[in-house]
Amino acid sequence: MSLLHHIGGPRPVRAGTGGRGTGRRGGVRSRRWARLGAAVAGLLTAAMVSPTGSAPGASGPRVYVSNEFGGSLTVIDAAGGRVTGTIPIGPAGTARPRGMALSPDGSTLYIAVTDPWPNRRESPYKFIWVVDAGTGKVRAKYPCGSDPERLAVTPDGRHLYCSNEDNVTATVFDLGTGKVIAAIPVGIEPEGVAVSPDGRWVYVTAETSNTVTVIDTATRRPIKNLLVGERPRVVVFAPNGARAYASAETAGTLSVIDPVRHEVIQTIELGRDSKPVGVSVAPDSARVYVVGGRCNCLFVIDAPRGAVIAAVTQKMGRRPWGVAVAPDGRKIYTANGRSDDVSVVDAASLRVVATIRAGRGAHSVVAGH
Amino acid sequence: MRTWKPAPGAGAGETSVPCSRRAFLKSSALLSGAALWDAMRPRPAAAAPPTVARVGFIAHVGSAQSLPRSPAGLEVAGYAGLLGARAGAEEMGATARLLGREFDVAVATAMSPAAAVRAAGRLVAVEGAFAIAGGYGTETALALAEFAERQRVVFFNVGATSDALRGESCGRYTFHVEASDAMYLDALADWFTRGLAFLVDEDAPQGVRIIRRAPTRRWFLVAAGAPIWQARRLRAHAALERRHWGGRVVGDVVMDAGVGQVRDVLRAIDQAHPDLVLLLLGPDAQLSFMKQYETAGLRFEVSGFPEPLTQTRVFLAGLLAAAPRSAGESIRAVLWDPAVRYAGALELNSRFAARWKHPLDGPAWAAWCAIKILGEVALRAHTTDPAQVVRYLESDRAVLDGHKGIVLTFRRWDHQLRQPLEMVRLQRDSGDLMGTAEPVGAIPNVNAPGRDPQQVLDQLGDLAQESTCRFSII
Repeated sequence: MSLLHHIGGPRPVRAGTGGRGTGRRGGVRSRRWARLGAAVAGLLTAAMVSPTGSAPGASGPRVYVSNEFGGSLTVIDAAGGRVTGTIPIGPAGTARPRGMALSPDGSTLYIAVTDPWPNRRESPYKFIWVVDAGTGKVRAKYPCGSDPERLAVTPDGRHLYCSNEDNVTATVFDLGTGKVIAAIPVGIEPEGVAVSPDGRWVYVTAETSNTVTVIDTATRRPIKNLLVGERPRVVVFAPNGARAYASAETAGTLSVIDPVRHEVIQTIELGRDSKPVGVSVAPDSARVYVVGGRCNCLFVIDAPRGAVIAAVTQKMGRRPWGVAVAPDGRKIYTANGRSDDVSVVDAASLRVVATIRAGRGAHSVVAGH
Repeated sequence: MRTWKPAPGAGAGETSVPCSRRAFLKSSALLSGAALWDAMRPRPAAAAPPTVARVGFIAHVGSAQSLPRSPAGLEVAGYAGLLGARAGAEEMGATARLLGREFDVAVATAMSPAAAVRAAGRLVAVEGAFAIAGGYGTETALALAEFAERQRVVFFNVGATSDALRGESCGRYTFHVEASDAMYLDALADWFTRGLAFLVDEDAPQGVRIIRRAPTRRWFLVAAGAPIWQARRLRAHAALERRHWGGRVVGDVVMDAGVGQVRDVLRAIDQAHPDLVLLLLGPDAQLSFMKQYETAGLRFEVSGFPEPLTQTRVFLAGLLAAAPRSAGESIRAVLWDPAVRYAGALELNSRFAARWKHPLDGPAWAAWCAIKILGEVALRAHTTDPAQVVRYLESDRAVLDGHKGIVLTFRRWDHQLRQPLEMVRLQRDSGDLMGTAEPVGAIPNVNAPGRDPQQVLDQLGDLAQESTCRFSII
């Protein structure tokens, strides 16, 4: 029995048109909602590209924050530590931007967007939104299965993998042809997605199954499933490819995975009151940073030893869920969903050196070049 | 009996959720037909292969396995539990297959304690179940707990709240996913005596919706005369007098069915001017009392003890129909609510409603969670040996996730699952079953940082020093 379902998907949908969505069902009412939503999205997009829109204005490295309840992205000038723009996605409370990824060259930002209705298939928001990192303009919306939550882009920039939270699949989108090319079965309630630095493997977590599915990108088939801690959320690979790390929110653990054998080789206890979600690895792969949403803290883990060496709590924002390391490794950024801000942590002193206002429900953060 | 295996594509919600009672009953009837066919289908009487980890579920439903029309029939909870068990079977079966293992659930139906014990015997001996889940009603749960001790098989209670089951009648092989009397009464006492309660609501003028403004000081208890209700009455006193300063009992009556006596009780309530009337009555008696309370025109706030049946949308709709003014806006405690949205609850509720055309209410969640835990044990502990399963569940390794936003564990002293409870507010004129209640907060607050989850959750229920449970050695 084949585990792979090839799907010929529609062409990418231009932002503002609403598109046909990926829905297979839906009554008159939901179509009406979809049309209304599409109209709103169109107006918002028009505002984005207008000269008076709040496009990012700095030219240096940028940090992007998805605001799940604010329906927007916050753009931060990394050097100046200030907000330079806000990119609206949709109405607050309706459009929910969550996971993000930058293209390998840093020129394009991809955002997984959903809405508050998991069973509603037709939605103007449930797409991968594509933003030009230079201009801050929304370029397109890509279909990527139902209810996309997080995503990753392959190192060659050709494919995008996203998790479909309300389904048991990860969808593969071909960025060259603009088509969905596969829906791969994974665990129940998939969330975290990561591509290995060599592009060979994709890992997908599943919150209900408590699993990490290993996908071979050559065949686009799952080859193995690993049992990890309860309610796994984010999974990342170290830049050197030697390890992968998966956080488990309910268990309060970080699973260390050997990506050669695809086996959990260590479970690092972060405390059952920690609720770890976001994970990021320093560019030299020597440190792993994990944010705890309940302890309001940033765990610093020595990667070779697999041991927690510090927990930053002072001046940390509330409910940090997203974390990103600057490309030079000197700053760590956390997206704080309850205080609606970003904590900037100095990697040398491990102190919060700045707090930057973001939008409602800051969810994820990525740091560009 | 029927073995429930996951359907292809389980977990993929693809349809909208019908919310009207008519649609609800229609879909229930369709499911019932399928269930009846399954029940009548000849089955091989061979024990399960040893590679299959199998759990037996004893559903409290009649032969038709349908949703009864009476909102006060225990089958309403039993039917929800059956669907919850099926959902758990699908999810854990799918998870097991991902890991190259097998897990399934064999379902039997029983409407009496004796029938439940007979069904449990068959599930263990014939189907090879390493654990049993069920126990709707105290007598059935007690009978199954005693069976579990005799047969040395694990029993998960998903349908009985009695403190005695966790106390003097406790069993080493029995674990309680359903919350205890003590937990529900502590939650009610905590909620009502605390006073101010609000919900963050971006659409509200101040960004919050006020649910309550003032603490409940004056409590009037109306309890049935049966021993279990008297035990609950005493525990309600304890909750108020020992733990919740500021709440006091200003009226305390024992009431049985007589109409004349209800009039006397209503008169006593009117004279006492309580802040809250707490009904420690069974489902039928709560409906009957509320109807007369409404007719009498009394305006004091009323809540009721939340036996599993009374947590279903069907019962809540029946309550609103019996007493729209008195029950509307009233606050009740539940194990789980199908409208909860935090910590993965939205995804679980949506998935369940789409798949089963039924709200994931308290009884459904309890059965789903029980199957999930037992499946997790089989996968993580790599054993289905009952004694080893018991030791695993008692250990620190048993870290359980029920989509409640906090790690769940079993108390070692009485095998009660630590968990937060939900408070819901009834809404009249909602127009559909789902809208009959809205969640207005969890007790305890699981999001407050800086405390051990076990300490947080042990705010509800009896602690080790209060427990009368004495486990046997295995």
